[in-house]
Order: sequence, then structure tokens, then C-alpha cells
Amino acid sequence: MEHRPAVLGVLKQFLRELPDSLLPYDYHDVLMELAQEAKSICLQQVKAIIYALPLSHYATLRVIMLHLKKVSDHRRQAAEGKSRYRSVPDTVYLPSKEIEEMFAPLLIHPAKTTRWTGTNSASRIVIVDLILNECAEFLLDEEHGLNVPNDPQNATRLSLGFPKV
Amino acid sequence: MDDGDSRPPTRPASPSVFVEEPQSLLQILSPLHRATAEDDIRRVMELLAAGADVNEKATDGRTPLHVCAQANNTVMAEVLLYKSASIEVVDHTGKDPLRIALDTGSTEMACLLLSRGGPLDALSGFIVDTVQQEHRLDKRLVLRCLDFVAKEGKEDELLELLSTSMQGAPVSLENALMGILRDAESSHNMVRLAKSLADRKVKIPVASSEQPKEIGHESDPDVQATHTQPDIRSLEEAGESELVQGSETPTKREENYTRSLEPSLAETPDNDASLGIAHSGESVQSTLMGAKSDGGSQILPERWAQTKNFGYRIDDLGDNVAQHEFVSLSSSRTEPSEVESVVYDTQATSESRSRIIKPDSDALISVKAASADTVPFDTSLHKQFSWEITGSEDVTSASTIEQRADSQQATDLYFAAPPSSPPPPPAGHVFCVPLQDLYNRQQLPVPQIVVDCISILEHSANDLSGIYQSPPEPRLVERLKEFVEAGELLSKPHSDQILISFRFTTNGI
Repeated sequence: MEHRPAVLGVLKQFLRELPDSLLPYDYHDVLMELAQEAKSICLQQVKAIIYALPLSHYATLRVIMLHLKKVSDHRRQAAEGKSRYRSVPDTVYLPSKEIEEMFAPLLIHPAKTTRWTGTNSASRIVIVDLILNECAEFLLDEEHGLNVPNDPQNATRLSLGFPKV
Repeated sequence: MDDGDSRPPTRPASPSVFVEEPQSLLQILSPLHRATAEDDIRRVMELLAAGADVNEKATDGRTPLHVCAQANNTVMAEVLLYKSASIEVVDHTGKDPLRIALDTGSTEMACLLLSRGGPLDALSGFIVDTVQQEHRLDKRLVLRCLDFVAKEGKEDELLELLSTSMQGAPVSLENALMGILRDAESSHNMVRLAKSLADRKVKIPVASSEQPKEIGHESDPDVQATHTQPDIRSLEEAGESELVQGSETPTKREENYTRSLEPSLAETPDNDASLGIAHSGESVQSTLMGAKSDGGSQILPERWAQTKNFGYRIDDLGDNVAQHEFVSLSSSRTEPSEVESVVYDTQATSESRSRIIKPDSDALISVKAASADTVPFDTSLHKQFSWEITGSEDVTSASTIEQRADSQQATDLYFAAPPSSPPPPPAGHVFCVPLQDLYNRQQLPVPQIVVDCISILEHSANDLSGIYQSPPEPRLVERLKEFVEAGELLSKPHSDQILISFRFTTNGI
């Protein structure tokens, strides 16, 4: 029996049940506003916010984003292979924002008290998409360490090279 | 289910296309719609002067007023309403402009439409639809609208609509609604609104999941009366000797009430008891205020003042009498309700009540206090009422008084009970714990479970994206979660071996 979907389910459950989401409530309104801004401004501000996160939030976000990056790369390759084989457009196999949609409400919880009501899921997806696709270079940055998720030494290296909160 | 996308569904495709994509869609709209969407008042006036139909419907059934509500354009809406645009027209999805304004979350527009006779069922429909989904609910919007309705004096109409749509609704929905109304107690009007809704709630029989032990009592009022009568006397006697006003325990407070209540009841047996009522109410209020300042229950002082004022209003007296009769009738019926179970348990001990409702909750004291300030007042009121009817005071009327007081307690209990909050997770768990705590405990910046999960997911790269497309087995997820909560590791560190593969999949799930 394939158990890994269940593992993914547990991971999602864990993220969902965090009392404060990975991108904390404090930044919720700011992020939602940023999603409306131009991409360059948004990117800059999101990076600043990510650097200002508490260590545990930053590290976890980083690990998860690295993983999602891997998944989306893998998916793209698979789609290209399939499209070459079956000669169908990529889009059929690459529902572009599926991963972002899945993880957006997990990384940025819908805040309980906010003036942003209703359909801010689109804004969340914009932010997560941005972090995933544009912030990769600094998430992968070697100087912050931690490329292997289950390496405690790398984890401690991360805590050393991390900017002060 | 356990999918990221199984959260409450987002709102259906937003109709904001009118505003956001003028080029593509405005072509199929009328010139009036177009001018409205473009916020071109001059053009709108010209078109209307030239004989354009102000209620003209677009292809989706929306009028220009819908467009205004969507765009939160109050100025334009004023113009259209001045030109007698219909406020009750619905589009093809059954929404009128007020509902659209509420969905968009624009308070000004909602208040404007409400003031111009916007149908209240749109508001009640909106409240019922959204009250349970916390992330979608804009409390301030709802409160502003409720306040506005109360100011307009239409709260009875709204309550009628709400209670009809609440019939057969789940209890959680009712509690959520009560939570909203409870938040609205900063305004005098809203206290009245919330209270009367709470009173109404008693009339609607609540389907209770757990049956109380005291069913036998409530089915027979006479038994109840003989049971409670000695209690009152003993309380009175104790109250004579007890002069401490700031006593904390609920029973002592009760003594104070019965004491202050007793003279006014004895001295004013005739019908012009309204002075006596106000008097006894006031004295009870003052003792309560004393008890409160020493005791530390959690009721806000403004709330006290408001309830006090509220109690003196004459038009409310009439309401109370009428509904009072209704309640005493309904509580003598045989069908048990959750409310009554709570009520009759309170008669035994205060501890048992706290056990039933919510353990170790400070709110209980406030519930007690909140109910207490109205109990003597209403009881004397009922006395007046029953004197008018029967002209004599006997055992059965005493029993109804008791029931009345208890029913009042029940309503106030609904009124003051907080919405259910999740219990704090016990220490040592992994789920529902702040990341920082996990960090402090595990000394790893990334929680072990995240590391485990990701290393399992990435173990074989063949079908990495395939995992994300197959839905998980919910039971297996639950099992895994228990497993993690028990402190087990999902995978061995620094190894490719996955413990889970042989510890779980062979377990017959």
C-alpha cells in the first residue's frame, strides 16, 4: 500500500494545526496588501519579511519550500517527458498553480480577525507562488546552510548563519 | 478529509468582472451599466434623463444598483436610488444589491441600502451563511449592520427572520450567532437585540444530545415546587443573618437577592407594583455591584449599567410578561431540552452546574451574576402578573416563579456563555504547538515531523509529483498522527530506511 500520500497528509495536518501559521498572523495583512502590489515591490518586501521571521519559522519555511521546489521541478520534467511522448501541450500535465494552491492556506492561515475578508485565497496563492518561484535563490543560498533536511549539523549551521531577529 | 484544498470553498466566481475587466465584458452591458461601472455620474444622469430604464438587467440579471454595490460606489447608488431604482431586485443567483454589498464587505454601502429599505432577509441570510466560517466572517461589518438595524427599530423583524432560519440549524451555528451578538454588547441597542434573541431561543426546543438525570423533576411542576420551596425559606433565613455583601460564592449572592426581593414582594401585593419592582431591582443592582467589585467576575461595568437601564424600560416590561408566560408554559411541557437540563441541575449545587456546562470556567460566575440581576426583577414581575390572573398566591405560582427564574437563568446563560474554545493542548505533543515551543523542546529549528515527512516523501524521486495527486487515506493519516503524537519517529535519521513502511502498512489499515 502506498503510504506516502498519508505522510503528506500528516505534514499538511501539522502545518494546518499550527497555532500561528508559518508566515505569522502579524504579517498576514501586510502580505495580503503586498499581493496587490507590483511584483518587484512585493518581492522585495516579502524577502524582508522572510528574513525577519523567527528562526524556527524561517527554517521550517525554507525546508518546505525547498521540497516544494523539488516537487514542481520534478513535475515539470515529467510533464515535458509526457508531452514529448504524447505530443500534447504541457499545460495538460502541469496545472500550473496546483502546489501553490494546496500549500497557500497552510503556510498563510486565514486570519481570524482581519479586515481582509472573503476571497483572499488568491492573494495567498500569489504570495506563496512568489516565495516558491522567485525567492528560490536565497532559499537555496549556501551561506545559510541546510540543504539536507535531516542533517542536524546543517541545521545548527543554519542557526549560526541566521540574521538576528 | 485531509487535503489542502478541502478548506471551506471560496466564494463562487467573483462578479467583480464588471469593474476589473471593462473591455471584455462591458460590451454586452447596457450603456447605463457601463456608465455606472465607470463611475461616470454625468453620463448616468444623461442616460436616465434620456429615458434609460434604471432597473435594466444585464445578461446575468444585475441592475446598475448591483454594479454599484459590487464596486462600493455609494455616491452612484444614491443617484440611482434617487431615480427610484428598485432595491429588492435579484440577479440570476438570487442576490439583491444588499447581499452583494455584504458579500463584498462594504459597510457604508450595506448601511445605505439598509436605510433605504433594503430587505432584511438578505442580511439575515448573509449572517446565517457566514457566521460559522470564521475566516470569512467580517464581524465588524455584521455588528455595524446589526447596530444599524437596531437603530432603525427593525430588530424584531430581523429576529423573526433569523429565528426562522435558525430553526433546525445545528447548535454550533446558534452558538456562533450568539457569540456574535455577545460581542455586540457595547451598544445599548444591541444588548436588547441579543437578549431578545436569547429569549427566543428558549422557545425553540433545542435537541439535546445528552439526557439529564433530572428529567423526572421537570416533567412535574408540583414536584419541583415542593422541592424548591424549602430551599427558598432556608435561603431567606440565612440571608437574615448574613449581612456580608461582597461574598463571592453564588449561594451567598442568592441570599442577598432573596433578602432584597422579599420586602418588596411582601409590601406591594397590589397591582401598582411597578414602583416596588423598580425599587427592588435597584437595591439588588446595588448589592450586586458591591458583590461584583469585591468578587472579580468578568462582567463589564457598562454591561451592568445597560442591563439596569434596560430593566426599567416600560415597553420592555410588557414584552417580559408576555414571553414570561410563554416560557413557563413551555417549561412545564414534558419534552426535555438542553436548556432545562442545565437549569435544573443548577438547583442542586453550583458545582454540578459548572461540571455540565464548562469546567473551571470563570464565565460561569459571570453567567450566574448576569442572570441574577434580572431574576428578582422578573420574579416580582411575574408575581404581579399572576396576581392579576389568579388573585392569590399559592404553591403552583411559586413553582412557576421558580421556573421562570430558572428560564431566565438559562437565557442569560446562553447570552453570556462564550463560544466553545479548544482546550489547550497538553505538553509534549507535536500538533497544535507553536513552532517556537517545538524548537525549544527539540533543539532543532525544523520540527522533527517536518524533516521526517519530507525525507520520506523525497525518498524515491520517481513519483514525487504523483504523491501530490493521489488523495491520502484519512484513517491512515489519523493513525500516523497518533503515532507521531506518541513521540515516535517516522523515519530513522540519516538512513534511507523508512520505519513507517513496515510498522504501518502491515497493520491492517
